[in-house]
Amino acid sequence: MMINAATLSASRSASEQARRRRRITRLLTYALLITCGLIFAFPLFWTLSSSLQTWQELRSYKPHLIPAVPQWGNYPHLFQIQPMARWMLNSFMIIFLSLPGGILSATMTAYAFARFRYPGRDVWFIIMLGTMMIPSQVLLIPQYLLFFKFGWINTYYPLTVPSWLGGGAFTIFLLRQFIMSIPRDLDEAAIMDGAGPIRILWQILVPLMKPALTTVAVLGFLGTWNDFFGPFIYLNKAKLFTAAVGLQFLTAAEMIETTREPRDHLLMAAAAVMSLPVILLFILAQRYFVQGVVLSGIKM
Amino acid sequence: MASKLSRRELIKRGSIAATGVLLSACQPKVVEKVVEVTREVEKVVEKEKVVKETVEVEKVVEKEKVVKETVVVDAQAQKKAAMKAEMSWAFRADIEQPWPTERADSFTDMYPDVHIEQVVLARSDMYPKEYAMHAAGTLPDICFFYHSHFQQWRAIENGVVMPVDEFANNDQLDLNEWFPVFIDMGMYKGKLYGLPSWGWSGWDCITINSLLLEEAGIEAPEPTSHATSMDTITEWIFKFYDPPKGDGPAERFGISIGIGDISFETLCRAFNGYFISPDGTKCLIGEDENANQAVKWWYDLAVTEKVTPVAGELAAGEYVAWAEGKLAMFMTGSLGVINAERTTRDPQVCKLGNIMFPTRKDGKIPSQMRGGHWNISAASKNGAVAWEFIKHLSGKDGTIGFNLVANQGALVRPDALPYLKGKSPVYNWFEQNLMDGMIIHAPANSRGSELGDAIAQNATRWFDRRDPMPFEEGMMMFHDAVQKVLDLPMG
Amino acid sequence: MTTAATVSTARRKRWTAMRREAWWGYFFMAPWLIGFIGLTLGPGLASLVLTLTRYNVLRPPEFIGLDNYVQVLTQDELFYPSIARTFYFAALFVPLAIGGSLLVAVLLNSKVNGTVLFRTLFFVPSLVPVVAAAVLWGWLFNADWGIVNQGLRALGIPAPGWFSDRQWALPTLVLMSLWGSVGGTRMIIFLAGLQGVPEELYDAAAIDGANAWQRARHVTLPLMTPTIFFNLILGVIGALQVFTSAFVATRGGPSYATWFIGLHIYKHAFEYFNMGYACTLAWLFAVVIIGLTIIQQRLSSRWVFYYGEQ
Repeated sequence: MMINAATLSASRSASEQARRRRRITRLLTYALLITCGLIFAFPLFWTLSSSLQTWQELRSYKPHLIPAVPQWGNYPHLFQIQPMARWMLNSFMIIFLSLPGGILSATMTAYAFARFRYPGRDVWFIIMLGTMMIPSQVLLIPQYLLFFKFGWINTYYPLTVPSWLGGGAFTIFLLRQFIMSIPRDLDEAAIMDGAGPIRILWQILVPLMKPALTTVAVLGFLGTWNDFFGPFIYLNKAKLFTAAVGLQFLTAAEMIETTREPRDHLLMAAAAVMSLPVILLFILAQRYFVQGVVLSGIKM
Repeated sequence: MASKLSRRELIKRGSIAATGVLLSACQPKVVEKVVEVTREVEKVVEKEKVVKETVEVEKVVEKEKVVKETVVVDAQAQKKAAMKAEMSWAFRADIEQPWPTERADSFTDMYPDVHIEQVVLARSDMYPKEYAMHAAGTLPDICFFYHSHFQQWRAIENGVVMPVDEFANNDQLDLNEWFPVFIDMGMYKGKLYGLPSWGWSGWDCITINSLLLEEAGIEAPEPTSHATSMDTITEWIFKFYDPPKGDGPAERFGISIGIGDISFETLCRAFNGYFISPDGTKCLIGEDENANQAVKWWYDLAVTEKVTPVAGELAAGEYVAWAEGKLAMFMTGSLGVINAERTTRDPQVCKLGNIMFPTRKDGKIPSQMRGGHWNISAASKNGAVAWEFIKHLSGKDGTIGFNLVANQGALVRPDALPYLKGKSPVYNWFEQNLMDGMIIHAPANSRGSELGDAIAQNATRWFDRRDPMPFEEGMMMFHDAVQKVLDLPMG
Repeated sequence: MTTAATVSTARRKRWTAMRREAWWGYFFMAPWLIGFIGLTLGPGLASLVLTLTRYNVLRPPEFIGLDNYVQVLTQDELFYPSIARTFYFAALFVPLAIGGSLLVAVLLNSKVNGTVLFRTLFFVPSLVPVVAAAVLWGWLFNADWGIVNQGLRALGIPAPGWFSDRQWALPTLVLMSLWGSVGGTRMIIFLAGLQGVPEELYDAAAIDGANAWQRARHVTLPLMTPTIFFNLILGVIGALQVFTSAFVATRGGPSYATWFIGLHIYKHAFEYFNMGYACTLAWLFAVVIIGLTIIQQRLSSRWVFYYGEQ
């Protein structure tokens, strides 16, 4: 091909066009990101703003974007009238009691599905996936009856023990995919050295599974932290409640027969307070979190 | 009679007889005494190898007499000694915390061997929780299955709560300490199942912004007067309605009537009819002329003339809307009026006024009393102590505290009213309603939850003014839905 | 040293090795297996038995044969409409949720600054507790005083009734659920899937002269189909079980507009105390979900493309 002025200018304008196209794409991306960001952020902003208003401002006929005078006192007031601190501590405790169990048993099960061949394995795998399809209401009543036969109602057992018995189907699936993506060479090398399956799991695989395990931990934390239904059903005593359940004491319905003073501003403050730990967790764990999902190569 | 009775049979018959003694005595206070009797009976039976049933019975009767005598003599001392228990007490979360603690502590001061654990239940799931606890055998000794929430009959029919007549008779409790209607509420098939916990005369009135009447030069009716006719009320609704300026809701709505079984029943009663028949089995809307007239009135206001707000249209609720002059009046009961008084803020905009419904043709006051009782769990092992505690809660001090400290509407005792009248003159207005009010006609099958859902969902359709439905059609739809619920078997 | 002997020894060794492997396999699977039998299979069978009873928790269950099934299928005038409404919700929600999450993931995957910040921002709505979100949404979308309608009216657009309007209540619930889930875990999964697309394919396409849009259509999309399928299955199952948002925000109304089958089951179990009936509803519903998932699985071979598995 002859490089002459014509071709040079043609290629230059082509690359200029490409650059312009890329700039447009970049601008468009930014525009969309910012628009989505605004849509997602607006209600969050509203939550924070409402948490700093008085209930009269909230309930007045002209909704206020920004409080006239930020009621910082709403936050300590919230902690005074409800044992929010206690409830959040309870949530932490439940997570502390259940998450290690969930990770342990999910890893064990995933290991079994990924690394071993045995009769019935694939059938059990399908069954495990199938459990994701069962609507929770099918099992709810008998599970409740089972737990009260054990005397576990109004304790944390129904909320923690099930985690130790396999965790969730989703986490098992995630971890199984992840383990399958780790080449067996390392396993085989360890076997040569005389390592048993437990040592292989603990010393070879688990260190390599950090991103996936972080993902599982973050998802488990989120799930338990915001879980409303479980504690709602199983806990009766106020001092055992978790924050998610405690919120219902702040809704409008709770005010009907007393002083008529709504506590929505406190509800929003509580929502803000509750969201804080998980946001922090997500920020810290973000990189591992995404990596964990990537490397597990979600395919069905 | 030739068969030789085995020893096991003898003991079995002996213990059955002894249980009979137990039940007839029915005084948990004397548990110790009864146990002794049991042993004696068994011994007697064993000595005599040949047993004729008649002989057994005679012996038992004799022993029984002895027991009763001892009880009478030692009643007081026994009572104090027997006041020893670890009990739990379930109540709703919105009963503010100082009151329950004060009641529990003051009771322990009187009887130091009694400890009461507080079990707080959120409004949203208090009954499912209580039923689940009953099924698990952990229902607190003192619990609640409110009449006005339609839970009482299910609880009684399913053996969840125990009758208190024995206790009341033994104490010779004067049930006239409470307004009769509230005692009646706790009765079912001739037995009483608790003592009044809360109660108010609702709904029975309309709270009005009397400033509007003043501005229009109309003389406001006396708060206790039942002379204002429905026609006059209707006139005022239209007079004070202020249409919207452009798009959006009205500047001022004429009246707000919340959808629920209470409002339907009270309105039907105001028009000389009933919503649910007294025996709780028939829906009279769609069948009874008076009831139909009542709902037609409401329909016209809501759908045809649009002078009532749609659900959710009053963002801040009825009370705030009324206090800010956006709502001329709203239907409520005595407790609502007291709450309205607390809500008024700017006297230039709103002043508390009250309109009672007009006396019916049969002389009664249109109302539907609301209330509930403190119950004792049927499985409680501390029945007697629980009874003492219930009297403590429902007595004069307890009731006054319930009103003043817990901010509840417990207008159940005449002797509590003087203290409350000092708090607000509004309590004066409702004294007659408390004495003469009309009781609820609860569904005979106790299916309150289904009834509430059927009413809420069908009435919102019927009164939907964005997509109106012809009155007759809506009424039959409503009637059929409610009748279906009333036809269900016992819950 | 006959060949037969070595063969049989070898076979025996293989057998013991296989048995050992099986033992280990079951050992590691044991916790899950115990949990499955005790907490899923057992209760599942128990609830199946309960469908043949009338049980109100307060009295022991009473055997009534197939009465519950008959009543559900022929006399419950809310059963079929509830299922229809639930499907309607899923039909609205799932495509928008998957499309939305995918779009957002694509945006975040682009090489612009600040994606980490945006990623956190998009994720936060999924962290807000449902109770609070429902109240919040109720205010924002209040038909008369909510800020959304005030804005619409200012722009001269007719303002719908949102949660108070029979036709709009369900779509409003869809919107609220979208807000709370588009930027959540599903988006992260899509992001992961996007990052798993090999760069070489994009380069090859670029060399062939494909622009951004064509690259998206012919490279990204086909390779994302497994991830989309995964999210589709989970999304449909989750959407069909919609309950908490309806329970908190609209309580099934107005006029049954948001009365989903999940809510119907809850009502019968925990408010009406018809436990046997509720179990029947739940089982019939489970059958529907399982059937739907199987259909989706069968259809998937037509459109899901696994790279590297020819």
